[in-house]
Amino acid sequence: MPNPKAIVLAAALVAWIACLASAFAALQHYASTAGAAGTPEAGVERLLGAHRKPHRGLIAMVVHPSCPCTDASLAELGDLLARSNGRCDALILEYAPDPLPANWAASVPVQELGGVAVPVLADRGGRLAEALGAQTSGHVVFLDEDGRLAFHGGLTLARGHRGRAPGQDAILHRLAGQPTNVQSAPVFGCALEPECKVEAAP
Amino acid sequence: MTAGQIVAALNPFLPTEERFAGDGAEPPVRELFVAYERRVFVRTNQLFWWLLLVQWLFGVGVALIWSPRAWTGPESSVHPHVIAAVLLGGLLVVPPFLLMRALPYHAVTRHAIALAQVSFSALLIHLTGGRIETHFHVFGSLAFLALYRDWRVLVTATLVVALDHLLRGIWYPLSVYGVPYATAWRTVEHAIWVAFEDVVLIWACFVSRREMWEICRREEQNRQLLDELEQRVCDRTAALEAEIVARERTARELGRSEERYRTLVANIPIGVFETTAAGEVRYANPYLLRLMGLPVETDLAGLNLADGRIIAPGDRARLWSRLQTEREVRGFETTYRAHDGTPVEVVINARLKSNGPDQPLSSEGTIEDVTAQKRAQRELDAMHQQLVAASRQAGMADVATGVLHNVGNVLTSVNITTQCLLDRLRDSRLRILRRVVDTFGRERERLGVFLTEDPAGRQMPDFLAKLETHLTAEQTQLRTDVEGLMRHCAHIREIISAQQSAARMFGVTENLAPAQLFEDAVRLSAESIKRHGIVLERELADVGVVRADRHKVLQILVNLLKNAKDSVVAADANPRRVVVRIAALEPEHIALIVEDNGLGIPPENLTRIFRHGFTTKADGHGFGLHSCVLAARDMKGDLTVASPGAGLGATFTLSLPRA
Repeated sequence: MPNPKAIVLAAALVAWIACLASAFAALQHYASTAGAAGTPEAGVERLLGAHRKPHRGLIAMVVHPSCPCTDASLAELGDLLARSNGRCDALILEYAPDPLPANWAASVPVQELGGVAVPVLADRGGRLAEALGAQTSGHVVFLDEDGRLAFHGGLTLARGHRGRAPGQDAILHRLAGQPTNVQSAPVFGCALEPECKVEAAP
Repeated sequence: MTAGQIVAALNPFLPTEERFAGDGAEPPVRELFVAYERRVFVRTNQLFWWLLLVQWLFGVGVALIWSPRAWTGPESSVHPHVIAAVLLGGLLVVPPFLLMRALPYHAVTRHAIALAQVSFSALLIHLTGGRIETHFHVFGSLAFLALYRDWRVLVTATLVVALDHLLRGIWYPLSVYGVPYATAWRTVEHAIWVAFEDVVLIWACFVSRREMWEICRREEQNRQLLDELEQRVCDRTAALEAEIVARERTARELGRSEERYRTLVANIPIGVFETTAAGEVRYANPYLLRLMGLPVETDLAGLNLADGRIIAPGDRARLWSRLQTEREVRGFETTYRAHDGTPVEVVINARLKSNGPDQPLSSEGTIEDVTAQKRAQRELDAMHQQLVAASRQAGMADVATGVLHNVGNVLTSVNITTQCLLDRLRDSRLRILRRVVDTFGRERERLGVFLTEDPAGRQMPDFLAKLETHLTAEQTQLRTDVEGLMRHCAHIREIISAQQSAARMFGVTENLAPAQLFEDAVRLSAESIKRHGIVLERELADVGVVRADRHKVLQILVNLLKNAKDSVVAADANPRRVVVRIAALEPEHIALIVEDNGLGIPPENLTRIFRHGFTTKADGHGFGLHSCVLAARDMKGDLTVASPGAGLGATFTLSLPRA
């Protein structure tokens, strides 16, 4: 006859482990849930063309300055630039609501990433982001060396998590002139506008 | 290793006590090990209590710093990471805390902590955005868990990590491998790295546990040694306590003894002293002071025996000379002169006492006042002399009795002879001769006629011839009687001479020939022996001479011969036979034996015959044999008797020391 106390203890342990598993699963599910992603408007090449240097690619990333996931996205962007062998530049579009809330003090303290000087443009009201189809912080638009839209989406694997993501590989392949079918990737980050609907990553 | 032991080893929740059952370890060592292990568990529990708490706070801090809020445009809310850090961290911390409190030694606590710890790794990795550096938390956690020294905990932690990777690899490979697609080998690769550390840590656990066992064995050995030491200390303490008690008892007894000694020395009727060679008196007990005519409280510093006032210098010098020679002198007799000039005869027993290499010699001992004893001895000597004289007189009386008896016997013969002689003289024929003379006187005128013619005258010549014959016979008879008288007188003189000879030698021990002693004794008793028709046989062998008092020996032998004569006469033995014999009784003694075939002695009387007052004679007084045996023993000899029984004669043996 098993000891009742042992049974209670075993049941409590099982319950505890189940709770832990559920909590971790929920946490992981949250982290792995991508934000809403839009499609760049037509003419985005022209919109970003002023920022692109000849025969060089350009990555424009829209970030929410206060989003915890921004750091991971910027870090991955820096990695990407470092591995691009100088064939690519970057442009940070810092989202800012319009009008600015009284307590809005966030800004992206970035001047260069991966050894490449990165200009930061304020995107008041998110109009550029809207043009780039960005609804989630960390959304990038990549123009290849010929100035054509080659990729849009996220550079991270999960919310706030660094890691080599398919978007990076797609951009690097483009820069290297290698064929790739990846033209977009899920974006993991905070929503840029309240009205933005968060949808699951494809 | 048996299957049961393997199962027990693999069962992570088996209590330590049960796991070690039958492992051959000594129970005390096992108990020590269990206690040691529990200390390790509690100590590590405490470590993890703090570690989990810090990690929880750290996780909350990381979440608050790294991702405090989640944004939606200009709006923000608490970031799910903060909520997860608080709630999930709490969920990781609280149950282990409860288990630590409720079941600190139970394996489930350790395994729960292991689960929580590696889960914290997952949480922190997540909260830090999957930083690869945070993955080191896993390895650090394993190292911390190894502090339990329970390899099973590492297995649990490893299994949790592996399971986490496996599940994440299946459902969220991006979160764990950084790539959207991962194979099972990726999980294996990660597991191998964990196992890599596990090998080291598990090995360390085994080594540590082996060392714990060794420490416990040594602790047990030390404990046993300490127990033995403590036991020895206890025993020794008990022995010391007993010794102290014994010493206290001894001290008390010593105190009492010392008091007794003081009292004894103070009151003992013997002087006790200690003096130096220079005559200084170091100690003198009260008796000695009184003996010297001094008050008890006399200051000893003023006394000196070398000044000749108390003891003659010559005597003291002689005593010290003997002490230095013999170290101890006993019975040294001298005469003290007391303070008032009274001479005190004393006996000194002293010994030389060395007081150290540089200290002068001293003597200690006793002085006994023997003045009274000496006086008593002198009186005793005088009395002894008197007793000796009295004894001599008594002995002489005994001998004289025998002598007088013999003399009386001879005198009886003398008397008879004299009576016969008187009768013979009264009836002599001389009166007939007177009638013849008267007849011749009356016939003187006609003597011729008468002789020739008268019928009576004619018969006269024949008558005278016959008278002459008768008178000649009478003369011869008278001469014979007178010669008998002379012989009896000579015998009396001889007896008296022997008595005088014995009396002269009384009290003198001399070398004597046993045969001569017997001859003298027989001569003293000869008349009686002869008169009673006793056959006296002599077996006088020459076996040496004895050392004895002649008179005492004669006294004994005369007494023995008289008793033998009386015995054979009373028994009317035929023949009346008395044997005197000399034999070498033993190397140191010679036996003078008197044997008779008279009445003999019943066995019951053999042991009583020498007692004073015991006699079997109607006219006896029981003194003779008693005085004989005392005399024999006085001469370092003995007198014994043997008899086959009543009517079978007796043998008296006088043993005397050989000269």
